[in-house]
Amino acid sequence: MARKYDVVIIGAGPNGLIAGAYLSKAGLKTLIVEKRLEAGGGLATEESTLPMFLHNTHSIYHMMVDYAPAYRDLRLEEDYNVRYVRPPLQFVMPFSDGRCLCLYTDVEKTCRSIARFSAKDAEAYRKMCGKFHSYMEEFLAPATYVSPLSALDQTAKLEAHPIGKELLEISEKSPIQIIDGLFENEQVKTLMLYAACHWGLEPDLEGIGFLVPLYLNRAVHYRLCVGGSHMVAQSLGKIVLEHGGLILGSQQVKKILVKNGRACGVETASGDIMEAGKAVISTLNPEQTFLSFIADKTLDDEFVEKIKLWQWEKWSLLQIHLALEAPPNFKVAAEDPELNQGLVYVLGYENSEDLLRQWQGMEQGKLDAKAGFHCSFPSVHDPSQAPPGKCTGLISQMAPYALDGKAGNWLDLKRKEKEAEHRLEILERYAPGTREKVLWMAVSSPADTENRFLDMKEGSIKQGAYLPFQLGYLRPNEDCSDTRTPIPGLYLGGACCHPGGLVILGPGYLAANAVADDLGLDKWWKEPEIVTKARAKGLL
Amino acid sequence: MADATYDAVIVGGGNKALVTAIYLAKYGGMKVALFEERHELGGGWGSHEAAAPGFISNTHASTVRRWYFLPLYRDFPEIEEKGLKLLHNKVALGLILKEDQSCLPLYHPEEDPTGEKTFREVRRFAGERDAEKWLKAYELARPEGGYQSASLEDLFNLPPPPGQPTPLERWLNDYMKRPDALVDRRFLNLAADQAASEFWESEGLAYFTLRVAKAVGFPTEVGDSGLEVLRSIAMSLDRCLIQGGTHSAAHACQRILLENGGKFFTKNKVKKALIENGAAHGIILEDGTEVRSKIVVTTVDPYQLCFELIGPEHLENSLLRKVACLERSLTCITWYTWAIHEAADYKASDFNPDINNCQWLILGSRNMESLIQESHWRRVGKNPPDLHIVNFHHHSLADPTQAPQGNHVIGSEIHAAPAYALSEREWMEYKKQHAEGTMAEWRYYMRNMSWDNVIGYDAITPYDAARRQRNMAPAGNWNIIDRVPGQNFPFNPVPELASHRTPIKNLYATGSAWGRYNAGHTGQGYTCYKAIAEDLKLKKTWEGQPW
Repeated sequence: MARKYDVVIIGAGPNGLIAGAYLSKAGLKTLIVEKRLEAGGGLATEESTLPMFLHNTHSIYHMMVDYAPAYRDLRLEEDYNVRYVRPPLQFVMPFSDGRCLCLYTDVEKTCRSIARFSAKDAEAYRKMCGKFHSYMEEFLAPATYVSPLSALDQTAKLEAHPIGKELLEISEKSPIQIIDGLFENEQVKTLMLYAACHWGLEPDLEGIGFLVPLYLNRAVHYRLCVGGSHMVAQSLGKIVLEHGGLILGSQQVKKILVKNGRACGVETASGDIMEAGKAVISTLNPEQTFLSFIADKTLDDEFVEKIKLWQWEKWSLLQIHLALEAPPNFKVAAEDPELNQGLVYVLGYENSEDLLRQWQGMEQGKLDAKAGFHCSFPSVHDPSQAPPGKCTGLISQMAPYALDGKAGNWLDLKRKEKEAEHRLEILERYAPGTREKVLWMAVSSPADTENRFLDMKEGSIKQGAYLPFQLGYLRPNEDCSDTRTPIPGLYLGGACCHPGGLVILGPGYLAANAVADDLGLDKWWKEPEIVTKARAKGLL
Repeated sequence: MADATYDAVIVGGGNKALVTAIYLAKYGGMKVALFEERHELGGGWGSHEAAAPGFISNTHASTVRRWYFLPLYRDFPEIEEKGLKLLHNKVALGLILKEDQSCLPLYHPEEDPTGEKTFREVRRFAGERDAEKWLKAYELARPEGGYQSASLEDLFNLPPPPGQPTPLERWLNDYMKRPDALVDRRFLNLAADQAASEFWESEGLAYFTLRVAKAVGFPTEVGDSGLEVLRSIAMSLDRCLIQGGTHSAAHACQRILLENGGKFFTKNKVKKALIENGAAHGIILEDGTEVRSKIVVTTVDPYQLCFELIGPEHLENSLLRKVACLERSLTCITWYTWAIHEAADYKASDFNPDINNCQWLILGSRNMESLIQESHWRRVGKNPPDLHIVNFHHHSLADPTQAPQGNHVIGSEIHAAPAYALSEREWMEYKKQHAEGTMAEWRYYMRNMSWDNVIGYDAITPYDAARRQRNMAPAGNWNIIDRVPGQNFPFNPVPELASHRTPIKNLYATGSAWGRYNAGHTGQGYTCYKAIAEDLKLKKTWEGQPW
């Protein structure tokens, strides 16, 4: 069976859906093919434990709602009722001495919390917030939604601007160096290091330090989508369909068809041909796109070699979804009930040594039963995610893909249950009685992540590590970072492209822009204001 | 959300709702909006990855037949392009006997167009006399046999006026006049418990028939179910699965709905119908929003319909009493989907290797007494001690998209006590015990089934059904109401509501409590449109056709 479209998009994750929504709204007949049954990719919400307990099985905290152009361009809130909550208490880190460190959306409240550990650090945090906010507004956020410039061009622009100079300086440092330079107190450093690195930034890696201000600024901008992350996907899907597009699930792509050197469609494993008259966008990882889907000899050897050097992330995530009879009651809340209203609880770490030990262990494929993690109880903030009075929970832990040397160990139910119990023991220390409240749990390991999302090879949640040579203009490489590829008509649009993963809705947006520009379409959307400003300042 | 106005508002987003919605949008030319309480549409057309990531489990409907979708194939030829694709396993239906690990594979019609292969298997398994009877029953399922086409006429038409026979009843009356008829009036009055054993000489076939009858929710200890013997053969062999998972059917309809200008809203609970002067004018959502419309279609269960959505103040006492008395505690299921490394290898594959690729496999025995007893346990609110398991859907064998490459899914189902028989905590305990119990029972039948082969499982009990789909509450009844005499077609759920019209003008009702059969088919969604189309003079797609 052959179907004809203007654009065929591979993958209906957030990026595929964003690209599809922009382009179908621009009048292009768009098809999105998805391997999974449900569209949404990381924007997944499922009843993994018990009915009416909604678990965000991949992406949960959305960090770029303030900046991602898609929310406003596509009128997701106004027309599709996509709503967010941003809990005022974002991070809570209790320690065994009974104290706890909190990050609030309110800077002053955070400073008061930090001051209990170090007055100097409280002041440092206040200053840091101001600085990082301006980095974010003026450069980091706008740079997220434009195609990257070459390192040379970007450096030149940054050097000509005071903020740019500071960012260049920071970039040379590792997260540990940056945080050590900012704070003196051990506990404060530990929380900051966790917040900066847990999504996959290596603590001692130099060269991409600009991500530290980005993550620390974002650490107080976590939002939960009301009704679950999948509501975003559902809305984007509606836009595609309402504009004549189609999303087809359960389609395993076998080949990207190339004719006369130009990408012209895809073929599925069941032999269906989907013709793309104008563009093919692959939102999958570079290995899938270029090594599996493109016939041998289509690409030159040097390019293929580059793709083969692509590196996955050093660690993945172990996620334990909980259906709870009632919300947990944290020890630290005895004095301040608001501490039961935190969004993210970081547990099991007393100092940065604990964190570093976990990272070192993971390099050997080890995950200590005592290792820390963060957890969250989303229905406390959005009651629609659990039955009345009950509570959803998520324990999320950095975890190695090859557990004890073998990813297969993660696919043993009894082992997974045992690992989950260790984490519950730790949670019990901080919130006694929680184990008793667990009605049911669903454990998702790094190997499960790969089973769910083929593009997240080795559990790599961002389709590839954030390394100096895999970011910005080099993500995935200098030939493709503006989403165009060496094959005309073929675009990339996944997290392996600038600006990367974590549902920041960037790559799909940039792919749609590239396709629209190349086709000379009259774009119905405008360049984001922050980008225009950054250009005017010469930063972009 | 803001107050809004539509032509038609649909309460509920399950499969009946979706089917009525796409008819109203495409053929009724109406602006349709559908409101669903859950986070996804589809209701019983539900699939998710709860056993383990990457493994699809169907939360309710899993096995489907081609006839489920016949009106859609005719009226929405685009349905396949939108993602509804049926696949099948080599063997549609099978039985293994615990005692000697012999088995009976019944091939999918496309694997065995003449039925000869299956006939030979029946003869080998049950002997010549039963095989002859089998052949006769099997013939009835063919188009010229009449049974299936008459059943479909029942399924896809509104109930006849009171006192008149349905097409299937008419056909049966004629059929029973034939000298070689397999059933007579007396036989039809039997309980399936009796009928199965009376009909077959082979204990295995008797077990088979009874287990199939139970699977669709017949309380087999109740009279008036002798016809089940025929139905278990004539309506059962063309078992298919839906590519990607049953939920794909919901996606396909959802796509058609949006393309035809319809809207849907998930996580939007409807509180009440807006009723003024005996007519419906829209709905009120839980958050207070008013949505006005010319007609309201509801897919909630009869009890919710009368006592909550409409409200007893608008209805006659006699109707309310009937609805309150509806029996709805007997069709409760425990339904597990297992994510496994290796597909099941049955010991019975020594008898016939094809049994390893069977979609719906009864793990049976010659112990009819225990199978008969199990429904008595449930009637008194207890979970039966013996497990009469059916392994359903080795879907990943027919559809590799339902599990990660090289891995598989397998389901297991038994009947269970109603949700209110146990407390929440007790159900959680039951879930773990049942997993162990199933594993122990499986070892009698399978060579490679141990916890080492298990990546995860999705445990759905009556507790879960009652909570996931409010229309299945309070018992977790998969049929909404039970198929007991007096609650069957053409009277169901109660005569006053059976034609989908309600005492409230412009308010129509449908759902699994209506119609000839309960299942994830399109019957009640389609017939509800028929009622509306007749009343509002909308386009009729069925003129000149049997349905």
